[in-house]
Amino acid sequence: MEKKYWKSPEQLINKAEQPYDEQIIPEGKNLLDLIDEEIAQKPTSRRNFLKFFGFSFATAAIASSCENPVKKAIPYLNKPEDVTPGMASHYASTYFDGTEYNSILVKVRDGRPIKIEGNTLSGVTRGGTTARVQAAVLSLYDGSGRLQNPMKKGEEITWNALDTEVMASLKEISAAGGTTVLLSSSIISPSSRNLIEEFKTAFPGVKHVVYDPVSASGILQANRDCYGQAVIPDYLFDKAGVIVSFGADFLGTWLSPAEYTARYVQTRSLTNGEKQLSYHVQFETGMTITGSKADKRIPVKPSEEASLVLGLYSALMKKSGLTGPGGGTENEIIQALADKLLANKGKSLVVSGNNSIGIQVIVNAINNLLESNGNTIDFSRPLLTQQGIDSEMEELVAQMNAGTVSGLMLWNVNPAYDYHNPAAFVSGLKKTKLSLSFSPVINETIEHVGYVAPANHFLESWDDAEPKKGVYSLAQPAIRPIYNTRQPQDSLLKWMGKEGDYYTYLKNFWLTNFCGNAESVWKTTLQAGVFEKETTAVAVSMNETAISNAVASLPSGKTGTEIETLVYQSIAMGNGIHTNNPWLMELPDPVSKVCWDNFASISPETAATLDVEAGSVLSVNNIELPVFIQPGQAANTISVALGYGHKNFGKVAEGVGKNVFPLTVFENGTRSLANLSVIVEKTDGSYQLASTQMHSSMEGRPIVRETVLGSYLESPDSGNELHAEFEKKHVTLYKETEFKGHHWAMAIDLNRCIGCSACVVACQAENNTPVVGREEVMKSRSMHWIRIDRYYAGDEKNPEVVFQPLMCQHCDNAPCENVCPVSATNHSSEGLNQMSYNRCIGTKYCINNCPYKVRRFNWFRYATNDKFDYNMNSDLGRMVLNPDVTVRERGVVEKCSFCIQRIQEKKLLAKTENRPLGDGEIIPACGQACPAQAIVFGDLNDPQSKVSKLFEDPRNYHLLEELHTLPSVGYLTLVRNREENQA
Amino acid sequence: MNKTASKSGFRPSGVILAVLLTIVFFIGKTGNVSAQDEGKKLFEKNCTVCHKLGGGKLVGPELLGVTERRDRAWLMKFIRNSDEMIKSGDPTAVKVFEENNKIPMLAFTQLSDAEISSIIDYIEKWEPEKEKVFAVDVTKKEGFAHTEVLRGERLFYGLIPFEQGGTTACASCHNTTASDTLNWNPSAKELALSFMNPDGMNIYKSMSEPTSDVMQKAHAEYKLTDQEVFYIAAYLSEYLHHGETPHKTFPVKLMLFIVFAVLMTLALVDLIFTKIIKFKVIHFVIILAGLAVHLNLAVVEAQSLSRTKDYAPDQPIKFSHKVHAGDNKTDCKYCHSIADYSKSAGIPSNNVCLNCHKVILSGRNSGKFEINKIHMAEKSGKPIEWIRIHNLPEHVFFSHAQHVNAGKIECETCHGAVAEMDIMKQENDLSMGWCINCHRDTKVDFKDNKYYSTYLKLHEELSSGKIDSVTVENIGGLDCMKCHY
Repeated sequence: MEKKYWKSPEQLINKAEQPYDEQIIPEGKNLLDLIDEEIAQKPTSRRNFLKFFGFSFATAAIASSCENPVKKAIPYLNKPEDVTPGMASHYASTYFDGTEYNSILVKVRDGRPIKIEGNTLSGVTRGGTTARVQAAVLSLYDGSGRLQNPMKKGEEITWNALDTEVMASLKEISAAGGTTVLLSSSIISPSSRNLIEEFKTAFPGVKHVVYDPVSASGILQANRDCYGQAVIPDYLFDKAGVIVSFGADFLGTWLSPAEYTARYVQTRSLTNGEKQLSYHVQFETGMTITGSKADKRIPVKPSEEASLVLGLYSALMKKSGLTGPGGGTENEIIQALADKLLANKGKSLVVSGNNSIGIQVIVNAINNLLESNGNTIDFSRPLLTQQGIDSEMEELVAQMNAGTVSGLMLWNVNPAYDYHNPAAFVSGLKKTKLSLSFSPVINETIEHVGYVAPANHFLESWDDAEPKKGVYSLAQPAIRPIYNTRQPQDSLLKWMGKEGDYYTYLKNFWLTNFCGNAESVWKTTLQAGVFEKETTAVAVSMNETAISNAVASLPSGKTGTEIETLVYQSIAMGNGIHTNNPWLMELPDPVSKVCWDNFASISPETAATLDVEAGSVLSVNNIELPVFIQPGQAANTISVALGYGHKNFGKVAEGVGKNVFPLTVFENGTRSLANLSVIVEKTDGSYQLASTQMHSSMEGRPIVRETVLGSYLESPDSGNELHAEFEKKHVTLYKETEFKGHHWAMAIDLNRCIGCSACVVACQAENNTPVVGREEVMKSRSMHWIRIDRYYAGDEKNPEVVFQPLMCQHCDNAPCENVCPVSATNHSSEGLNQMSYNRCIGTKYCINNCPYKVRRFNWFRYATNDKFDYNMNSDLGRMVLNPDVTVRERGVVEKCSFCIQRIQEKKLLAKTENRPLGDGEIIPACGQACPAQAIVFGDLNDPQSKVSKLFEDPRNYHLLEELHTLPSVGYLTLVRNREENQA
Repeated sequence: MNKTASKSGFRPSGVILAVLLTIVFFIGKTGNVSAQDEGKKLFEKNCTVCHKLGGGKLVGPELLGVTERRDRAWLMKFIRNSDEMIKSGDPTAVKVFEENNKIPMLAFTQLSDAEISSIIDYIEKWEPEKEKVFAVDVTKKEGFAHTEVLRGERLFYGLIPFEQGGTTACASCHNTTASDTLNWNPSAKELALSFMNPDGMNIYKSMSEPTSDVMQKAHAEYKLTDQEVFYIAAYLSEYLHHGETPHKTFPVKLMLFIVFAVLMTLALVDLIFTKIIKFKVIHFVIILAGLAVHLNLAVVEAQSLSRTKDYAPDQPIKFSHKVHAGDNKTDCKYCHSIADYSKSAGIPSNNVCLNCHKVILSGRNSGKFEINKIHMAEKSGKPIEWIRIHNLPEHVFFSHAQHVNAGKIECETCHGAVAEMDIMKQENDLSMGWCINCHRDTKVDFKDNKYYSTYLKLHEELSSGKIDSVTVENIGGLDCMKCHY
């Protein structure tokens, strides 16, 4: 039976989406009338236009024939040895934003960092990146968000004045026996932690409190209760045959997504002769990419989670013949899951994204029972990126309000925005004598503090990191500080009265601790960026009383139909520290495909009960949120993304979305993202979201092909039978093109692709793609060269989701090429569909004729137009542009080039080194960014290349291959691990 | 008489003695002067590349006081052939050799003993220069009286003669208008700039003691008084304010355009209204000719839009590729070293110039004035702002590495006979047609470069005799995306 794919509820019920134009065209008139009216109102007639045209042409010809502009070539005075004009250098460094760690390489061209790549030497992230890591380079050139000078009460002061006053203040507080609190996000830098200890000694009374707005407090405290270690163990998804996740979006945002993705896809790959897939079950409220990839996804309300976890534990105990606490949900799903887990003892993994200590203890108990510890959970390399214990922050705010905290120093935290009760924090802050923020950017908190000692951007800083125990990495500056800023470690050293800067401190720390005092070891480590120490296995034993305590503490499952909210970190925004980044702002959410806003996701049936539709506005605890109807959302729940609604955070973030941190609650010792008692009201307002969802719909053709594991094992071309059929029909009257040298092609494994969108931002960074803003996205004028199409299939309440990255297919029989009147787009001798901007006259015929809808038109001169006030209209923002890629002019068409600049660069390198080009040497930006290695690029004329082999794979097919477009991009069918294909 | 005689007998001898003494004295003096002069010349010619006198170590040791440290015979021997001495194991020579990073000193076998001796004499008698005293305020750089400026201007243009001779006007060598012909001398503007720069030229000093051979020769007949230099200084100071007159060419094309436009209009008016000329053929001929001229102009101008063949702008330094690449046979890639592996050929950075010009302080054509600009740049920290000659549109990607290293194309193929250019100019129009033609004709190193080993089909065609060579076009040299991305 043909499976029915649909892209949105409107499409499913065949309702036309309201065209944008209806809003501006009054009833009873058509567009042509409007245009005529407009022309009649204006003094410029067609005749005048011709006059102007003739005149301007004549003057232009005469004027420009007189003089050519004088351009200068200014060389270095003294050329630095490692800088070669026109060539990029790569420096190994570290990305850590307080939650997410990534080992990176920074590409620096003529002194400017222009791109971030993953560091393949890292055992943690293995060269993979995420969208936020890819976008981080743009925040370096954020003229509107970054602080440029140290400040006192909003006025600029000098560093010397600030140092003198802060030092005096610190000494005074210490001498009086007062307390100064250093409030930071998780600090994973071992040398900084050492420095903070020294700082505490230098100023008695200094305390260090860690505050993570979205914390892993539940896991840390549960492990302390169960195993006596407050750590986050290492989850080995690659070793797991059965994966059960209760609301943990481990592929998207949970703890260490790039690392978990790399591990997860190893169990989902079928390209190297594997005969097995892991079985992944996801219980979740909103639709995440992790849920989309699951073999079984069960929408649940946040309040049901405790009961489900307990039910699973009880079932497992019962089936193992043990006496357990009993209770919890008992249903077929849980029973079947328990059987599956028990059959895979030692090869299964249960995780939960819930921040409740009780739930996490039961999850520990389940894992303990399933013998996961030591097999799929490793306590020898605990993750250190989340250290915050929520109750410590609560205590601190209480103390501040009680007036027992004299000094407060804020390091990479913004509680006035992301604390659940900002007013309490701010009132406490006002009671301190010394308040200081190290924030590198303007934010909601700095307007309340006395001093701001702005930190450098991380690409301007020295640093180190220990993301996991025994795994270290170094960060080195790739550019001098652009503004008058100083990294916090340097400030601390200065205030302690220590000689030397943080670089010296860091280097000495490493020389003593990791390099055996050998300069050469330091240098090689700095070059590699990463360093790992051997660890010994750590055995843990369960404290049984913790389980019974937890069971007793669990809330009884609610069964009512009250609406519950769950706030979540979105792929783009996370916890809201990157909100001023236009690339991330315009990155469509992988599932909802909405950008430039957060919104209330509700299920279609809840929409019916609430009597709202897409575009209505709901008031949730007095926060007004536009409604988005999300198939697969649990009934009677609302999911809203965090990170939006900043008040004072730079021009891009200003006024975009709503801040929903106030919807979080502190209960039972941790901060919960779910809120079980909210007041939801329908309002009269309406609001249209900018969505890329209905762009480029492929209208029910066999675009996504999928099958189930059983059928695949029987016949590898299962689900892809059409491919062979179409291949037979490829007949042409014309002479077939012969590619005598290379024939570039790309293979995309739909099993590996998780929809994380790192490729989208990577492509934008590499290819100078402009940000167009909310209005233009609503007019379907988004400029991304690669998009991730998301299709729903099956049950509307709980649909299946597939992701399909789509870029120019580089058809060898391209429909776009035939229709260009000026031959601006044509085929290269290496199989590329080339686009020559200087030749394009903007007829847009190619766009109309492209069946894949991957061509983009430059409606404006985005690079210089002040209406597009994002990053390309200022000198500072333009520093991020890749000099190897033309910035496109208004009126021309553009599209994916297969990163031709990278192809040319590597070809040239091979030529100059007198050797054949190696397979895998050329990696386009999307493929390089991918944490799942779903995108493989190579030469089809080399039968040994990876891409040639993937093209031979029976799973390989091409999009709309029945059209005989002969695309150079192949897709591998999606194989799910389930009994039968859901219809 | 006797007394007288004796007296008179004495007198002549006294006179003779006096005369003799005087002659000896004079001879001695002139002899000394010329010996010292020769020593100086020889020293500057042969020694200053590696040694300084009263300025510390350069490549070789400081020479001030060397005559006290070593005896003359040793010095003579060492200067003649230090290598021999080191090899023979002379302990002092070995010590000196080792103290100076084991850089051997050149052998000066071509110098005579007297010449070497004169060099040693020069070193022995050398004294640091005394500050010269001038009769005018040499520090004054601004705020000259109008009359002083006027007088300076007249002197500069040769309208009034110099008191102590010198016939040619300053302006005849030091251009006051921008010129497109080769002139090695600094222009008036450059002189003014240098004069106004606090670290720049001291015009009083350089006028009284020319800084280089070139300047000495050119200024041989000029002996300006301090007051005259003062007036010229006043003029130079003023000159910067009103600046250089631009080089004007008669706008032939524009005139042609206007003349025909007028003729056509007249013809049209007469044809329709006034009807003075009876033969309508004349009107049509005029209009047709006018249109032809206009169209031709339009086509020619449109084609040359942003094409700058033969562009040879004045550079901030009168750098001559002829002297460097031609006469001195410096390899192109010595200065443009990154052409081998980067897109850009690289304008050499200031420190690359200084590799040589740390010791080569005076040029054959321009004296010290131009080379001094490199040192000034180093001192001020401001790099030289060269005028870019070869410009490609921004949507064109050209890689020197591709052509120079992989393609083994000689620099001259595109840049012309650079080794013969005193003023660098754009040899080719750098149009797309020019690029494409070359890609069509140029054969690639298909057999030897292992990169091409994967082009199996072309290798087959080659061995089967279907094609006899592989051109850039065959490997995709005409693809748009070869250059545009």
